[in-house]
Amino acid sequence: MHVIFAIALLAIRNAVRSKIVLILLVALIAAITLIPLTVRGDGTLSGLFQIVLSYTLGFSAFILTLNALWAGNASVASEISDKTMQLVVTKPVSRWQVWMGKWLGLTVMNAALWAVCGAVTFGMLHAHLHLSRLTDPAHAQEAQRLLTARETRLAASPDFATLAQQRLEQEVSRAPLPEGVTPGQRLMEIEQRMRIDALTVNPGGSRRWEFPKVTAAELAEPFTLRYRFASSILGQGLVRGRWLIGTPGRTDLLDVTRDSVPRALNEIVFRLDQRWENQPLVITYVDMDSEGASILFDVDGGIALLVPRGGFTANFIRGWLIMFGRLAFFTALGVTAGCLFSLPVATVVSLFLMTMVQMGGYIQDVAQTPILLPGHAASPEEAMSLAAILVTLIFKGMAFLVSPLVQESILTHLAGGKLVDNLAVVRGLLIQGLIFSLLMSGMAAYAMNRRQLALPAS
Amino acid sequence: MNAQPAILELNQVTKVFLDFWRRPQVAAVQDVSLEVKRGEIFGLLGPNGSGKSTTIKMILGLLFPSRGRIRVLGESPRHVQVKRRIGYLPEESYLYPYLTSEETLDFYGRLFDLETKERRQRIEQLLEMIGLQHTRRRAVGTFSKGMARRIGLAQALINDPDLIILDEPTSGLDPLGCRQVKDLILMLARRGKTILMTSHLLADVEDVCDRVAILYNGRVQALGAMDTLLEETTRYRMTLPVSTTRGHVDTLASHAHDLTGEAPLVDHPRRDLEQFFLDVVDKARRESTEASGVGQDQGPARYLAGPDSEPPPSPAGSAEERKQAIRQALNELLPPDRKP
Repeated sequence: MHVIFAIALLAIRNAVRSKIVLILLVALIAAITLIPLTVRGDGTLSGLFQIVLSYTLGFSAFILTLNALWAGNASVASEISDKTMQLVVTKPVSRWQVWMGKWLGLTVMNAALWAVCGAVTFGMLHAHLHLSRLTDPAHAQEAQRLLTARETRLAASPDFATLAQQRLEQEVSRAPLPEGVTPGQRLMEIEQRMRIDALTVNPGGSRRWEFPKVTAAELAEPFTLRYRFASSILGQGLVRGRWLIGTPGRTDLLDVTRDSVPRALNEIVFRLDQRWENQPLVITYVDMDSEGASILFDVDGGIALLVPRGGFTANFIRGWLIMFGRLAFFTALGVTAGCLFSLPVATVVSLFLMTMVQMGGYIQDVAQTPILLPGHAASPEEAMSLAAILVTLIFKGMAFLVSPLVQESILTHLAGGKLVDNLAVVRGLLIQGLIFSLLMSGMAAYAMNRRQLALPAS
Repeated sequence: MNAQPAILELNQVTKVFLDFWRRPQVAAVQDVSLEVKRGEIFGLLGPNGSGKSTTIKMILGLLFPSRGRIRVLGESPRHVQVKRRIGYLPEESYLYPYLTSEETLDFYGRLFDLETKERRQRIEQLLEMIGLQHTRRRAVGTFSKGMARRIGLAQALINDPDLIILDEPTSGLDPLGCRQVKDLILMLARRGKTILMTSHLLADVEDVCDRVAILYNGRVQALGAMDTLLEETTRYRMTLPVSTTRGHVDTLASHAHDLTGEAPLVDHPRRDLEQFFLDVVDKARRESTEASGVGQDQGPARYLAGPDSEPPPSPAGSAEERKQAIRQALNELLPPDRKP
């Protein structure tokens, strides 16, 4: 371990004495304190939280991610090119120890910078909340809500695949499918229709969702129903609806009529009493719109129940830890690229890989495109070209590689008061920060052992 | 024949550099076979591009041979643990410019897993040895080439290595530094250390090396003991005692002419410029107390000199001792009736 610590200390000394740390520190603190002044918010505390967390802390995280990659690249690639590495590897030092020392040193440095970012941001948020409470006591309630972490619960969803299969079998038993329509196509149509129907409420109609049981401990704090929908009438301002909140035995214990804004996040805050203890929560929406609009709740979590699960500080620390795991991963990526390539090549490769990881969600979406071979498509037009098949396969491969690294935006979670759970922290630190980093260290050591460090070109 | 075990073995070693498409570009080393025994000082000579540095880098595992086999201390050069016993001074001092001289030695000491106390003692002794104890807090990046070279030499010795590989060890050093390095090399060899060195300064190699190999175009052109290679067995040289007069010399020359039929070459021997320079500097140093860039060296580090070593004599004392020894040797050459 002495060797690893010696190399780690060297990496930290390099960063500190080359003034990189100082410049980054000044730039990050300036960004955190100045960006909120330049972005126009909606005047609410919630809006301010969004700006400070999503914009400023997000910007800081982005800068530190770039630094993690670049510093990782340079820590090895530049030492190979200026030949200082030649002297190090003639000592009893394994290549994996070089990798580990560089990674450890840069990760400690990034952790320190990220801690400063977190502390300044946290301090700023609390200062704003304190000032708001002083200037307007009405803000106190909003501040209390913002300082609460809430777990997102979704309603139980039917098994659409099985239901669609059953519906298809019924249809086929009654009459054969129209010519040119394959059973697969018809199954997909039925399933999509069922999914849309489950989220659609027609004029005068209603839709019901059942959420998991409420525990006694959860009854102390208010619950929030958060929903987003689209109206069938384009440009409609407000849509009136009635929300009934109850239990399976009695669905209308609470009755709220509300005008909601289409395409925006709408929230209803309510308290539950002992009648809900250990009971599933049943929520019903009745469309009461006078203009006769049908509404379609968002497919992706269009209706969610937010349950209080702790304070903002603990949530903030959990979010900080997950993003620190991400930084450790990107440092590992940078050091590994630096071990494999010269500095310019390593920079390009690691930026490409960073983009791939950050766009993991998009890559996964593209990878879900079904490959329609000429013989299996319904029509020749639908069949994919060889190039399209190749691209889709590449995306499927990339989606497989990045799947453990895809995560929802932690800062959006924090800004929205969503709970960042402990499992996510373990996953972030263990999988991204440690396991992936160790895998990369093995890869880098293998490649470095086979690399001749004194070749004329290097 | 040296019965010591082989510390370094190169057997038919060839290194061909390839381009990006793996096509052969240049054969830097071709069929080189060498063997260096324990306690030997072996010189690798040759003009620029002859393959000296490539050979050294293969011995250190920084390059891999295209063909042939290399064993260093009985192991492959890529064996990590064998490097505990190797010290390496590269041709240019590849040091971290942002570290101070003390931090530099501390860093390399840590790579050898030296205990803190031992590491600190060695750093102190090495800084004294190279005369840079007053620059311990100065960044190496601000050093002159000669000072950086001294730090490079110190880092090569921090682990008290058995095999010391020195690529141009006297490059960038002043004559005083060169002499110190050569004295150090000789002292280390006496302690059983094996030294492999390259140098463009042939006088330096001649001063210290037991055996040399001369490379040209990547091939060994000459290999052998220094005395064997340089001795001219068809010619003779006679050294006369200092009491000899011009008349004695003329008589001897006349006899030689009568015997061989040719007039012998008679002239005055010249002093070694290096020794002359050292004497002048030594005298000036004794008369001046001001410190310059490189301080006065305190002789080799005690841990390098071995457990039984005496505290090192001062340079002034050693020069005087050397003179005394010469006077004594000359006196022994005088006839008994003329001794003082």
